[in-house]
Amino acid sequence: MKTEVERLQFLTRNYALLQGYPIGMAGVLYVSLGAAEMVWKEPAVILVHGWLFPVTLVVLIFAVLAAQRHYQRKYGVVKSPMESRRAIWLAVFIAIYFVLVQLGGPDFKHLKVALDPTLVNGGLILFLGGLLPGFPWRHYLPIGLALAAVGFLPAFHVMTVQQFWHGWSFIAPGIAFLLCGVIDRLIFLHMLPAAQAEEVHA
Amino acid sequence: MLNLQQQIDDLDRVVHEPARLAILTVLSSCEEADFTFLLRVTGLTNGNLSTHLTKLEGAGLVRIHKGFSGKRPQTMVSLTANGREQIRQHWRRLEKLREAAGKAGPREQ
Repeated sequence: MKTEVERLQFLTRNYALLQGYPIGMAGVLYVSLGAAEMVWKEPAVILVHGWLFPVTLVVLIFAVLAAQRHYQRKYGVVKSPMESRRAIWLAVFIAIYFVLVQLGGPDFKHLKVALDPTLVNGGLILFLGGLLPGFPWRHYLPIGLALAAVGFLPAFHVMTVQQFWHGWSFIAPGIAFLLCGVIDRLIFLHMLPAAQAEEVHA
Repeated sequence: MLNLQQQIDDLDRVVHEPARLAILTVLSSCEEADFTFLLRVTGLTNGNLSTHLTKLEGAGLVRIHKGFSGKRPQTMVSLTANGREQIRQHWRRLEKLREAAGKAGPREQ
């Protein structure tokens, strides 16, 4: 009884959180920026604040809207106010993240070991997202840890910080975000196969 | 105290029918959902889902709102206050029934 009922409830409650395309598209954006940085040999920050920023933003908005429209036509619409428990944990997540970045940000610059802050921050976001109670994102935990770990590679002389600064600072988080989006989607599709209504009783 | 058979007989047949129970369970987990989503998660056919929704609407358990999303027709379904209460009570009754059956089982063997 529990399995089918819980599956129906899980799908309905997490419908918006397991669509995968918002974080997946952020991943595509990051990978594109990293690739652009490799091609033009300009730091992505300059590209982002230059002509590329409005263009990528418009492309991203249209892509997200198109994906949302397609998704809603195919899988339907569910309207659900955010549960208070989730809202509280999301606020805690944002607060913890900003505190950590504020505390850790200056340390990134002053630490004598070389590391890549973008990857460490990206990994931290995913890791904290994976810890959020009531959210279906446990798979973000290992991906976040792996991403943060990659950010420490220069400290162990496996890669140089310069290699990261020329593209990989954006490409690596982009791949991690894409991976999160793909797994979100796979979980959703795995849970989706029509619930046999009779099993709700069993 | 009611015996098992009485408790089973007391279950609301409109709610207890498997497909309708699935629909109500989905709707109890959200504010409203559209026809397409209900089709996807319950695995019912268009006709079956329509029939069950009509019955549930007739019993005052769900509210059906037909509108448009852009140029496409969209049917949104939500639980009424009564429907939300009914499904909550139904799950409570089923839980009690399960506990009662669990206690009765070993003694009868």
